[in-house]
Amino acid sequence: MSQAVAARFPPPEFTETSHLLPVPTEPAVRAMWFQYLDVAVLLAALVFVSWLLLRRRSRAGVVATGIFSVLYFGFWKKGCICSIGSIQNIAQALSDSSFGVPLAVLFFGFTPLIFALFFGRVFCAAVCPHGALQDLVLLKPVKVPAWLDHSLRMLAWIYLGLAVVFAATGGGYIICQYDPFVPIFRLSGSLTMVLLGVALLVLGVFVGRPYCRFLCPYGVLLGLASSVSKWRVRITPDTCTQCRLCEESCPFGAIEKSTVEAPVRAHSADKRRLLLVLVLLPILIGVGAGLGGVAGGSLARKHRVVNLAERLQLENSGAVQDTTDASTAFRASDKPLESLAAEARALRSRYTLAARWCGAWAGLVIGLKLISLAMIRRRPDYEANESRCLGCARCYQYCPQELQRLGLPVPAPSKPVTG
Amino acid sequence: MNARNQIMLTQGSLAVAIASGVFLLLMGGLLLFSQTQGKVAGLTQSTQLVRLQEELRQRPRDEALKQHIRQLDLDLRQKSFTDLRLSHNGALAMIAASALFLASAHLASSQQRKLPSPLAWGPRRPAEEKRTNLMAQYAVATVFGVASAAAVGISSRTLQLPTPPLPTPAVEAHFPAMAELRENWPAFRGCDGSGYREQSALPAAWNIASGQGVRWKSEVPLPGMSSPIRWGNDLFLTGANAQTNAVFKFDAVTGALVWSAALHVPGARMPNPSVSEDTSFAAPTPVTDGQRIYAIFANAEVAALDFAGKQIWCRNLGPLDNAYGHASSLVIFQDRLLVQLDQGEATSKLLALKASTGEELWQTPRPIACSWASPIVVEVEGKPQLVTCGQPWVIGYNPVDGVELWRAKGLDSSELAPSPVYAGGKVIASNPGSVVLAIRPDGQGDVTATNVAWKTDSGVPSVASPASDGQRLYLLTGDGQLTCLDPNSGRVNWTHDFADEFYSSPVIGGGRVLIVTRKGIAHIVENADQFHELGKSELGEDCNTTPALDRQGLYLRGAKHLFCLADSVGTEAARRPEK
Repeated sequence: MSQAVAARFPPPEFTETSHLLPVPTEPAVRAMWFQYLDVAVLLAALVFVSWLLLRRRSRAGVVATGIFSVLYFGFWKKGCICSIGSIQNIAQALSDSSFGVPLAVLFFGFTPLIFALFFGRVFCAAVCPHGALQDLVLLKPVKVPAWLDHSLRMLAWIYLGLAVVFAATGGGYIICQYDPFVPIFRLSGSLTMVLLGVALLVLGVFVGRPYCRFLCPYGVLLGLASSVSKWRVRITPDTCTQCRLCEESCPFGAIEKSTVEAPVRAHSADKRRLLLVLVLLPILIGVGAGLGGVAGGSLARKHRVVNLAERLQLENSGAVQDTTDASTAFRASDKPLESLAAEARALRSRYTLAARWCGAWAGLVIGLKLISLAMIRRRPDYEANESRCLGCARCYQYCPQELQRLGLPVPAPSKPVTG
Repeated sequence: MNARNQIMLTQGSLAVAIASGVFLLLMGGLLLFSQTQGKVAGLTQSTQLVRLQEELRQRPRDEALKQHIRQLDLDLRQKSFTDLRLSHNGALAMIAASALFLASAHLASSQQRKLPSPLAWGPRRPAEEKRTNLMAQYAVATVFGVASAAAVGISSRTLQLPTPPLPTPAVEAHFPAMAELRENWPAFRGCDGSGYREQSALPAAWNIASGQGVRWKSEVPLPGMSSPIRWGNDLFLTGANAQTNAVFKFDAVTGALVWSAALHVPGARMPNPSVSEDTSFAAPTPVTDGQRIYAIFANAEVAALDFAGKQIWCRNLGPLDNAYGHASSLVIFQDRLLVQLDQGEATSKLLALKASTGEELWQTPRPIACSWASPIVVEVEGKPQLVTCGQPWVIGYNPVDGVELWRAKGLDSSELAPSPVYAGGKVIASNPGSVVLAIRPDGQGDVTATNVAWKTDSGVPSVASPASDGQRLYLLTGDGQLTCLDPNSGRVNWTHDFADEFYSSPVIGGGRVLIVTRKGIAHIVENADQFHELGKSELGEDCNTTPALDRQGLYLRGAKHLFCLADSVGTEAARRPEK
């Protein structure tokens, strides 16, 4: 029995009865063909959802595929391999040439992005089990104020930066460690993570897909890719009649209102504000980089070597009285403390540099967001935001043109809408 | 669907949703309760079990207490697994209830769905988006502020790492010169592993009982098969038992035990593996560079001590997996200690440790099965080479960086104990029970086909290593056949059968060759092209080690004692002035 298992669950002493403990066995490595199957299912699901969303325009089909994804990618595959987590494998491989990434992980990482480049976020629509699960629990959507929606979405960008920092520096895969839904798919996990997952699902009954919108780091990349897609979701299959029926239909705040009925003009105050945030951009980047550098040393604690070196230092200096399993094991080894400390100091420098970049990244994305909010855009039609739309197909059902296409009765407003 | 049916469907769905929702709440609460307040302490958390185990330490023979502990252990395990099973089943039930709740709630919701009424929202105002964006800008800026505050908060707990040691002033490395090494006997079979020391006083005979030719005899505190080494007037030896690995220093003049130093590895001591009686826990011979003594033992503890017996460093390279126990002796090259760890093809390796600190400098994997031979460092065309033997390769390495220089195949014995010797510009390697190879070590890559100068099947050693003074090569088989050859051609000068068992390797000095049987009977023959036995003496106890030589005599370890043996008046060689 390995030491780790023995420490977790010490076996009883059977020396006198000569009882033979069963030999622990290791589960067989997952067969390679399972990975090929996963890749094939992912590809088929992406193609199918693209067709459902863009050609068939079927909300029912999207929901049905979402249920399949929750069952297959979620409960059956237990949330792994996961496109969201693959960011970390790729980041680690880019920073460490000795680290290999399995082809299946690469496929899961890049294929949804490639689809997003052409068809929008079809992965989020119904292929991602996290998104599909949240979509299924959404019963009573509450509209999140736009100002709050804009600001909360910045968390995902910062989370992406941190995830890359930790993966590239060997500090661990925080996206996986703090994945709120994997414990639900696996029916096991720490109580804290299970409660977090349940809390997010309860919140998701009222707030549309809170994890996807405000935390998902992969959603950030998909949104970027989707913003240049040609064949993405369009609310109306024909011409927008400015009926406003779809205006509040999106539970994710992804519908951009037409400016035809309520034209906005840029005033000198708006131009001054734009100028201000343009000037602010390099300052934000600089401040972010500076603060990142300051916090980098502390973030390095996430790395087991740094953590252990600090622990030993605290124990040696008498700052703590007890010991940990790791410090005891290290002392039982013959490794000199100085070699561990030297490695820890090198890692601290590496973290400081990486955190500086992460801070600059946070400053950059927040600065760009401020700039984008300071710009006045004119839109002739009601349209799904190119990067925020998750492709749930709910808005289709609100468009009279769509109802007409489907041969369903079109409700007529009691009187014309005025602007 | 008519209105009545629609109402019934809606109400039915709502009822199912409410029922499943209530079930979800109850089950969730129950699971949460069992995970927190109601959780039964596991084995490691059970204070009762810990207390009882503590009591058992006080009363180890209390059978009733033992039975009580066993029963409690069983109960806790059963409870623990029951809890796990209940939690799992509860989670499955919650998922099923969640699915039912969602399906019925969605159904009820779809029945109550009303089309939106834009009129209720009122007319759109032109400045609506601008206001929203302005508020969003403030909110986004707030996010940046919160993130900044978080960064400052995180950094407030400063990371405390051990401070780097102050740079030590550069000290010019001092390595003993070859003349100094030759003057001493710093390693197994001398400074170059040849078993030869020109200025030696090999006695022709001695008598333990009468004391004739016995300068001194001292008891060795712990057993071992390692051989003595000498530096100046200091003799070093290792010994070990199941609990202790130790290094001993004897006075070469008086034979007094100067100090005995038990090794203390940081952390827990790795237990000894099972070893053969013929190997012991202290089979490898230590080595010295004149500043420190380095020793390795069967449990892979390797250490450096100064000449005062103070341990400088000690580390464990294990665990080792060697059928008879680790036996390969250490060698020194400049500032690095070289360790041959042949444990099997997947794990065999060559290590270089920094002599002053024990820090690993390089490591080279070896495609070698388990072996017991010791490496030698020789100079080939002005460049150093580390030569090793192991099944199936003889391999030459650069001792500076561990890079392989050449290799020759031919050692197919799985019991490879004889070490190589460098004689007549050739590496002599023994393949027990088969052949002796002479390889020119000036090639690159696999030199099996090109650099094997000669082979012989005469007098192939099985345990004892060959010895050579450069002019003659002596091979000693396990059953007592001593063969003298010309190392240049492999031609046999003479052979003599002593018809006894030998593990000890021959040594050469002062015109004589000494071999010692396992029973401790020493034969001294003339180092010449014709066989001529000069004397025969008994040690009085078993002997499986190889002597160290100097101009005063020879130092030989028996099963229990360390002997210093010399002609009472010294030999002619000893009386000759040193060159």
